[in-house]
Amino acid sequence: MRLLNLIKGDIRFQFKYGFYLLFLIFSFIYIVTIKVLPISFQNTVGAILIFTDPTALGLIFMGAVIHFEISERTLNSICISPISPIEYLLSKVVSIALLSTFAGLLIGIFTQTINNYISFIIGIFIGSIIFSAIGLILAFKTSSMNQFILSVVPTMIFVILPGVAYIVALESVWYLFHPGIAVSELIINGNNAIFAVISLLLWLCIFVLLALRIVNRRFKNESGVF
Amino acid sequence: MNAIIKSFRVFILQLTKDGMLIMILIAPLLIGTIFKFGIPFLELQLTSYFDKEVILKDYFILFDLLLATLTPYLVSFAASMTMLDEFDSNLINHLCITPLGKKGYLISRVVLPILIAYIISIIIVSVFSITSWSFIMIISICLLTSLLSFTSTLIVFSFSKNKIEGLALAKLSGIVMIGIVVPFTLSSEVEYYFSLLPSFWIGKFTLELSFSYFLISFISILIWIYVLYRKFLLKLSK
Repeated sequence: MRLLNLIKGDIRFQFKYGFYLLFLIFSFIYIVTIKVLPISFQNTVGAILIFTDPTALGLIFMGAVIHFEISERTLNSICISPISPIEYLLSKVVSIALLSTFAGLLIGIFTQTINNYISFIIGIFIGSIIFSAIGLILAFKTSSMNQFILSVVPTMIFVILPGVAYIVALESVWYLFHPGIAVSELIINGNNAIFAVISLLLWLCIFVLLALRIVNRRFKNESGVF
Repeated sequence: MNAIIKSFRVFILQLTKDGMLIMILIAPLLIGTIFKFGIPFLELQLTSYFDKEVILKDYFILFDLLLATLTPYLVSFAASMTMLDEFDSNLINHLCITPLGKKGYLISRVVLPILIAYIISIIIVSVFSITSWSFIMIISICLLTSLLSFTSTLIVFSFSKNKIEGLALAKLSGIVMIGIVVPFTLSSEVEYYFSLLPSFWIGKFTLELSFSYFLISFISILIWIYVLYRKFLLKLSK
């Protein structure tokens, strides 16, 4: 119940700071862009845009959210409340994943680029949690927004770029060990969706555990409990 | 003046510490090299593969224009992020009541850095250009793209209450820059829907090389800067 209230609070917070409005505007722009393209390109471009923007939105925005909470001392208050680190982490990543899925579905439905709704939703939802967990780790490890933006660049190169390349040209079941490629596979509903889900669940565990370790340590430091 | 120089030095030190300065200096060189050697090579491969005379050549000017935009835009982005950090930690209010003042703060964080970015941009475009732009043309284009980047920082900072809204606006301010590619991609009946964006007129100027388009771009950017500067002062007065 507490987790549910935390998620609701985070969604309200994201709504207030214009995340939903921003992604409505961008979804509209993407829909128009995809619609004016030749039909043969629409599926590929649609998948790339959905993968690189709504799915990966947590990667960038988590930095602003965490840095803002640190500067406003919100984190200090949370640390001394009954909220546990796992609840804090889950509320952050799940609330962003819901927005990602909502924006992804909006673009996919209006451009008719969704091949399989189940794999599409699973891909965006888990992918978004992974990206948000990475964003959260990087946000806690950096002290300024410029530092954070720079720290995101390697993730973009090593996780997002291969995912885009996979949508455009590649095709091999072995590539699915890569998290970005596994998300792409689910968004385009490729032939190895089951394998992609297994790979993603493994990556999900790794990144969520890593993020949890960071949050745990931060909670201990902020609350003064050792 | 002394306060402005000192504040500017702090800003540069901060960028160096964050690693952003290296990125700002290296990225244009890297992308310039890719454009200079990669694009003509790609054109050669594409034309021989599809057996056509020209495929990308008509868009070479657009690549030069993007290169002219890159350095000032990176600098303006870094400035926006620093200003958002400083606003959230309440540092700006403290700085503005020192001899630096609001105007001095803006000069040290945005005007001076963009002025330097303007000079770097001229050098980058002169070295890596893949078209035959004259030096006057390079100076004019870089002036417009630098001023345009200035508006981008003002949008991000003036309309946001904190760094979360700031980052959302930074993403949205990309739309302000999108006008650059409009004259190259859309038909003449549709393109004028973007005429409120100064970037659209920069694209038109680059494509048609008419002085009147330079004038329209310049004046429209100045109007945007005036309106946004009022908003900037209003935010700092709260």
